[in-house]
Amino acid sequence: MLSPTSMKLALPDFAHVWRAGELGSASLPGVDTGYAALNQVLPGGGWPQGALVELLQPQPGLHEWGLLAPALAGMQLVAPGQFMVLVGAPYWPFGPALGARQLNMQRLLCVQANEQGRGPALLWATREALQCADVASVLAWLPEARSAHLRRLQIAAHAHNKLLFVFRPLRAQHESSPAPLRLLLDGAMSEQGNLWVHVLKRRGPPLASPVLLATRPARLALLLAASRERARRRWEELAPAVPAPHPSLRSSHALDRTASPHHL
Amino acid sequence: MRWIALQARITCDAAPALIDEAAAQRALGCMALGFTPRVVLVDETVLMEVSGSLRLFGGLSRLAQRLAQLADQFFEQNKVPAHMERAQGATSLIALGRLRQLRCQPGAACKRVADLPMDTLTAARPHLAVLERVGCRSWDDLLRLPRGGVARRFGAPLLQALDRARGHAPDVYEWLALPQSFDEKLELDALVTHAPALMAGALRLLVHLQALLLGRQSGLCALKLVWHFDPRRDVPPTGELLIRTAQPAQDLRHVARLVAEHLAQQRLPAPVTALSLQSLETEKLTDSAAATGSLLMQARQQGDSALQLIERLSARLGPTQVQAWQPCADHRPEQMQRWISAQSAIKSIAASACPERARGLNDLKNEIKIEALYPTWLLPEPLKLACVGNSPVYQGRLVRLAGPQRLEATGWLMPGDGAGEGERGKPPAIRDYFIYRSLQAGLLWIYSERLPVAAQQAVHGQPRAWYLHGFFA
Repeated sequence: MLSPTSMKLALPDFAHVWRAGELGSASLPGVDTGYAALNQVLPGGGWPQGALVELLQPQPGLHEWGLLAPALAGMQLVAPGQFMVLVGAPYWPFGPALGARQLNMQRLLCVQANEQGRGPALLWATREALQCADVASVLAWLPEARSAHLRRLQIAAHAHNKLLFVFRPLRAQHESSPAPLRLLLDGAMSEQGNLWVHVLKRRGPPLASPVLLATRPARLALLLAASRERARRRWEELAPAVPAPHPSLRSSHALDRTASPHHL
Repeated sequence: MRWIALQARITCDAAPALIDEAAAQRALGCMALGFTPRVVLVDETVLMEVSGSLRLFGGLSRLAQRLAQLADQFFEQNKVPAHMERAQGATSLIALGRLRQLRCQPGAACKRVADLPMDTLTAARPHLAVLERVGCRSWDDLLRLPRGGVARRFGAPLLQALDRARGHAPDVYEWLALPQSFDEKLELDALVTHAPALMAGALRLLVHLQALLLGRQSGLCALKLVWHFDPRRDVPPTGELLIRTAQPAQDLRHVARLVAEHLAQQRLPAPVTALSLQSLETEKLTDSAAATGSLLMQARQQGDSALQLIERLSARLGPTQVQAWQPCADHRPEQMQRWISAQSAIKSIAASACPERARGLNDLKNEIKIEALYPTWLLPEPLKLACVGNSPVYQGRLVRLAGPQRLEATGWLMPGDGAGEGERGKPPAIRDYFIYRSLQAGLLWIYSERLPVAAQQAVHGQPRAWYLHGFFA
């Protein structure tokens, strides 16, 4: 077996040779995700341009803006005239909150489809949006999309160099997918962050441990921390005799217990 | 005097061409009108007198180059296998003669006008056989014959034509003039029962329309497509379709796609025999030459513009399904923003795309209320939640994290507010907003509606109503 140094000698550094042990590099630099921990594990150092990014989450409307808003705001800063298109969004994006995340709502288009023939219509709208010169990024919620459909989207995103995020349910995890980057999003309840990002597939070695991100805006995080602190203190006042639970337990479950006596 | 003769040549006969030779000639005539007002259609060719435009376009070769480029672009856009041939001369008949000679013997450039063969002169065509027998093969041969004899034998028109060709008599033509608006009817070859099949006829009409637009140097804003039903059926005689575009368009491919989208949704009650197309509104393009003249790849936009995207999506999915955001000055969350049909807001979207208006946008942005403590997703309608005891339930038990934040939910500032609670006959209400956490659904924005003090006493025994209003995603 070759040691790493002898392998390096045998295979000198060619720009066009990709070693399976390293992260792949994209032809275009990635778009900064706004989270250093996430940038490190993504090939190209950010969201890949001109590629389909598949995001799996238990239900729509959970983690989209927290994860993507920094990158989307950055893109809007670079090209203020470009549009962002949401296809089949689960609810209405709320302008005041997204404005606080530096997104320009005037450059946002929402596309919905009638119940009848919803799946094909949304796919068509996504492809049309990708082909538009004035669109920088497309976010699509396509629960019914099949692998063949996604392949067409991937081709369109590649041909037009667009940022494309497709949100799918967790059951798609076991289907094959043409997306070069697949992430699984999972909520977290720790003080360090609120979102686990599992990298299911990337151009590079598999990632063993998920990345923990704190995606909430600072004010909201402070408010939640303050209320958590208040609840903990009240809980201690109520039951001073009870020995304090194990710190790790408290950090993850304190809220459930402390708040319950105060339910209305 | 500088004359150019043009002719479009359909290169491939086998393919079902969108336009025939006559239509192509007319299209070329329209395009030539973009360069000079003195254009005339003679026999199978287009003649244009360009001496007045040479300085503007930077010389004859530049002008000819741009004309060829425009024609190639037109044919390419409409996928017509054709190319343009041209010849020039000091008089119209010389240009015409040279063009005809070029067609008969490609590559054989005539050195002298006098050597042009006899059959390139239209006036000589009835007498070709006789002329051949008396040995007149070129214009020169005819000029050597005595004028009186030629006039007696072949008639005055031949001599007049020769004089005009030599520049001894003025070239008088009735110049081509384009109508103000386009209105053309096309009889279909066969009865059409299926609406998308009308597209083939519509495309033919659109090519004619585009030629007219090129000549008038204007763009299309609105058009009407009318189809005429078979008169033997007991249905209204016509059906019609009205299409508008946000920006005046000269390249009609986008309009054609819009027509196709709308036709795909039409149902025909009877077979259609004819189609007619009218241009309702056209707008002068200020700099159409500059808009199409660039050869650089960077200058050409890849893909279509956002406005075209909005129009196309609205055409297929329905105008209410493509929405743009509009802020509103109101303190109630559901009234702070409106999602309006993007097609109705297309003018403002187009205006905001201009860089000089960007500053105005920033001012607007400052007016929009920004609040990090609001949820990023808002439900279109608050969802009434089930209760266990006195606390709400959504996908399982919920944990309260923060709140309450009190809000007056009545439009008391605006008495005539249509969306206000007052109109629905409800008493004015106060909302307490809380942030709850669900194990499955993340952070929720939930409010409980409280009636004001007087009313509250009346319904004291009832549990409070809880509503889900948004998600912190």
